Amino acid sequence: MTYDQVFIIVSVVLIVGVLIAAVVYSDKRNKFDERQLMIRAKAYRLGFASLIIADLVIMYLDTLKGWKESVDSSFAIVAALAVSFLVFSLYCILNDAFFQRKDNPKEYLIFCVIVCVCEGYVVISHLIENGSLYEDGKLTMTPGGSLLLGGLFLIDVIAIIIKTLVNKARETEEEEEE
Amino acid sequence: MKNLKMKAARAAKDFSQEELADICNVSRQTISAIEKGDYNPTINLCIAICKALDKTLDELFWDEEQ
Repeated sequence: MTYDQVFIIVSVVLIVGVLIAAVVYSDKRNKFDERQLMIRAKAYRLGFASLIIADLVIMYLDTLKGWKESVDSSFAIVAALAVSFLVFSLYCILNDAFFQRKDNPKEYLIFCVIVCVCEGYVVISHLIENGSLYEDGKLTMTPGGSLLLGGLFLIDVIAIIIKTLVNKARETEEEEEE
Repeated sequence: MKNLKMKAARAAKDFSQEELADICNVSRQTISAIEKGDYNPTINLCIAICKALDKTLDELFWDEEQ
């Protein structure tokens, strides 16, 4: 079994598992409030705009000499999607609109850490096997995509931790004011 | 502009932001944003806050200076 096949199987299992868990364990009363919905609507727009810009950049890079030889097109597509998701998630996290009212951020953090560890394992094992992230002189999905996804979730984890600490400090400040 | 009337009414009721948020079915950050004047709530949320704090819309959200 190749790394690509392992990557696809693990991704599909994770996504389907999360979707099933989200439907089964979701609290029907747990919803985003009106301020969060407004923020998320703006985040969707920003994410979509980022995707268009990232696609345009990739289209431009495609015309450059040596780009097609050194970067796999499927990696480039995932990179554009990753940029869009990063913009959306960071905007929501920084404006307290990423989690619903009764959501437990710890569960999402654990999920992110598991993804980071899995993707890190794929990247490190590829590095040990081939000595670089490139495969036949090309940056492909297997180590490149894993590096992107791992990095993406790691940034989310850091942003959530920082935002939680900032919120706690503000809450204490507001309680002291009262 | 900060909504000090709402903050005072909440303090008078001895509610924390979290408790008021639970009653109104919104997040604590939304209550905090309204009190700080960073977010203008919809009329539905204004009514929910007024009911929770036993106040009228005028008492909490009408700015007499304007």
